[in-house]
Amino acid sequence: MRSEAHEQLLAKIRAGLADTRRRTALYVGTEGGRESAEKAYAQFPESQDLLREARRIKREAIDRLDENLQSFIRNARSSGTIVHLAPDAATAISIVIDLVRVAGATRIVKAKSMTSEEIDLRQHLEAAGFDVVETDLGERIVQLAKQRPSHMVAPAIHMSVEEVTDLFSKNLGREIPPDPAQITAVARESLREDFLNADVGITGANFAIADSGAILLVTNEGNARLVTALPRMTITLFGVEKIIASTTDAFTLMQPLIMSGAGRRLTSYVTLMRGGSKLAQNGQQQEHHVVLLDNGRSRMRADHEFREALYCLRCGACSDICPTFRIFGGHVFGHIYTGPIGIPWTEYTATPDDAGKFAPLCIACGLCQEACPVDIDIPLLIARVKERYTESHGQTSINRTLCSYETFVSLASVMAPLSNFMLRRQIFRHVLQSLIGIDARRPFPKFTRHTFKKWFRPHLGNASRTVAYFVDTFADMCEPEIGKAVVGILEANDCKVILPEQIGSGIPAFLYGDVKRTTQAAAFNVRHLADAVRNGCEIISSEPTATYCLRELYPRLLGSPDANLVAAHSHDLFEYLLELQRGGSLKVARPKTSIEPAVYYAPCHTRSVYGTSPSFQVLRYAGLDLQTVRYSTCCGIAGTFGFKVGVEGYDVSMAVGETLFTRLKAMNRNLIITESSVCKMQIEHGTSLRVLHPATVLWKIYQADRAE
Amino acid sequence: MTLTQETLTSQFAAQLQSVGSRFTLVSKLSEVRDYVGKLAEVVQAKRIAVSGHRLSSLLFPLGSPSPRFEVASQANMGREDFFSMLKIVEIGISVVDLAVAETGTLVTTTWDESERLVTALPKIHVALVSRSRLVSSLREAEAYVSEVLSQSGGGVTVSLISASSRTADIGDMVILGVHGPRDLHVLLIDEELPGD
Repeated sequence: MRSEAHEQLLAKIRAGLADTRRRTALYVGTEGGRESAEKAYAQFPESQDLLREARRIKREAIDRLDENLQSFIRNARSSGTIVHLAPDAATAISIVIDLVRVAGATRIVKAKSMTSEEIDLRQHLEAAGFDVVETDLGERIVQLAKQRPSHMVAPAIHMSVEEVTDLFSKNLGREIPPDPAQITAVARESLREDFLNADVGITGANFAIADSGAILLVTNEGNARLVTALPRMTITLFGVEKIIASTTDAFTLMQPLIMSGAGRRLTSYVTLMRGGSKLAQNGQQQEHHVVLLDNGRSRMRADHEFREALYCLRCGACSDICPTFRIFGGHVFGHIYTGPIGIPWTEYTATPDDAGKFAPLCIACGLCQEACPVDIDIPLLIARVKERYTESHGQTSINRTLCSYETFVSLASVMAPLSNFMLRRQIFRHVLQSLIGIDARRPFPKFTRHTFKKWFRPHLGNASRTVAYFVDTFADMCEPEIGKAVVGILEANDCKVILPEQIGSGIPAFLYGDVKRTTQAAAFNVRHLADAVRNGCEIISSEPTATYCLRELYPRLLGSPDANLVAAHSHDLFEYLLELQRGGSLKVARPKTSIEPAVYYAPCHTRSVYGTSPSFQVLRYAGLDLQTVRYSTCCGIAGTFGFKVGVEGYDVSMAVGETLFTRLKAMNRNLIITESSVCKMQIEHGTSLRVLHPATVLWKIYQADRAE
Repeated sequence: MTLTQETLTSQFAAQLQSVGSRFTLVSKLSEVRDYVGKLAEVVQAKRIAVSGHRLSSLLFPLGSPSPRFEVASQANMGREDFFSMLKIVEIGISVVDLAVAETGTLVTTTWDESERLVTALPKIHVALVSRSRLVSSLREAEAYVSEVLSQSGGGVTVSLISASSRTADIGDMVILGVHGPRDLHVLLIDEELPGD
């Protein structure tokens, strides 16, 4: 069942995939943002401590919002600032319009503010007859284009230099060469006039400091300085979640905002304002107003999961890393708030429908959380948005089918080799495509009826350690050699392996918003794994998504002592081996059979859980010539997503993976190593290169060693 | 210079230079006058603005040769005239309250927007830092800023300047001098400067 909203989204996806100029501009902007952020953090060795501290500060600030709000109001007022409280957008708009009207103003200059976008402030002021000029260059560009900003930090990231040149040429009535330096010079001159003639300046605030009543603004351009220094009245509009306790907290928080958002330690300008200063033109005290907006933030705060979304610093890092944002940009992947964090923010500041409509663009890779300087669990919040939306609007039939993928793969396994034969027949694939919606171009892995679980035999003899292997579908029913390799490696390292009772992780359901189903799978698996842990087992998985579930997702979904117990004792096989290595008991020798030089690809879920990949480290330790590929986002398949027909999934997954395929092929190595079964499928399909699981490789080394 | 001072100075210089700002060490105010004179000649500046009430007479004292440009300050003209000058001067000269070596940051507190605009309107900003005002870490600057903001009364702005104005909003290319100075010159001076 496909609704009109879904059809509209698919149409946008189709158009977005075809728009190569837009895709290039977005790629350049987001990749640039991501690279400069990485560089900024690399140059700052204490960054991890800083980020932990930043999260702690935000958590406390949101916990203490009520008292901080009162402090802020009191201290701001004592400095001469006039404070207004706006429970909703309509109130905020009427407050601002009244202020501007009473001031007898006609011209307004504005600095960039997502909060003002949230309430459509400029549009309402213009409708009321006021002349409003956006002064941030990116905002000015989208204003001229009559568009919304498409990214929280770089509003015109989706536009090419040619498009921008056209806009300014038309606006100023003369030909401007397509050169950013010249466009900027022209904009500087023209906007300077607007600054000097403005009656009112409107800004947002990056932070509001409770113990002084000051606001803090970061800019590189310097426009916020002129917006606040020249007009006779300034109005600062911000959401109440911006309030933090002290200058110390502000100094801590501004750094990750700037490093993640602008790729520098500090922006060119950081301005802290308390009250209105003496005006240059006449020596009078500037009238300074602040408007504090709620507009759904209290409701967000009251939800024990969505509360975390209020930690957002508006750095835009989640957008820069998101595989689908990078293709489509914020006009498709957004409502007013754009990108991954835009989904929960839209849920509460606009409507659940507005959020649910573009939430399917999230493919649940988890990289947004990895990029987030304050570690917001954005994937979980997005899944909740999808959950609420599908509960009221229903689920597409393909998504529903894929939530039950286990039934199909079990069937394929039982019916192998016939199932494999069928799945290779194009006619059958086209039938499958029409009936269910699985793209005929997506190769299926080979299934076997000689599954890993059928092969598995209990370990006889003594071993000093026992581990429970949480085996994934692929290693069980498609490539049991992986499972056998895992067991072989563990047994060679003095471990006895047991197979606990388990069902599939439930992650496809999570991707499609059926969080209840994932939670049920979590409850089942945790019940049995917790027993295993209590019996002295550590839990091993060889599929990064399984590890992600056990260590990160299940504890979030269940919140129970058992879930936390399981999480604390769950390991990726290679992380476990690294622990053995640190304890001096890892059995691995230099490879005597030469494994050919290879390239390692880090799956999203490995990055989410571990940062640096344990399998990469172990294989290097074992002497492999292993390089990594320079690539920062998802490979695109996102589990079952890349199987869906056309613009529902396959086309998007291949567009996302394009750059990865090109880069892998350019490395001139014939072997790719990755521990994710689905990344393996995607890379094989996109490059035709051979892809092996690191366990398979390591087991080969062990066996060669034994043969000596 | 002590070893610590030398380290601080090099760190400060390196941070500034890494973002394209110019850094120069001088010992006396007269050297500042020479620097400004040369700069004005190179950029063909006809007018410069000097912040505060005492700095201009210290930089360009009576009896010293008249500079080849007009010097505007709140000491030698009324507020409105100074504001008119601010809109057209090519160079703005200001004294900072504090500077941070760790990040190459200049910290200035203003209660009068005329003063802030000296550092914001012209294309070229020359910032003067007394050696005694150079601290090592952002943390120390933070203590200073907390102190300023905690004082009663109102109408105060603390500006942290770490580089010249720039944008990457068009095609992700960095362009300098958007709505603020394009060039930032920082002079570190042994001599104590007037806090104004």
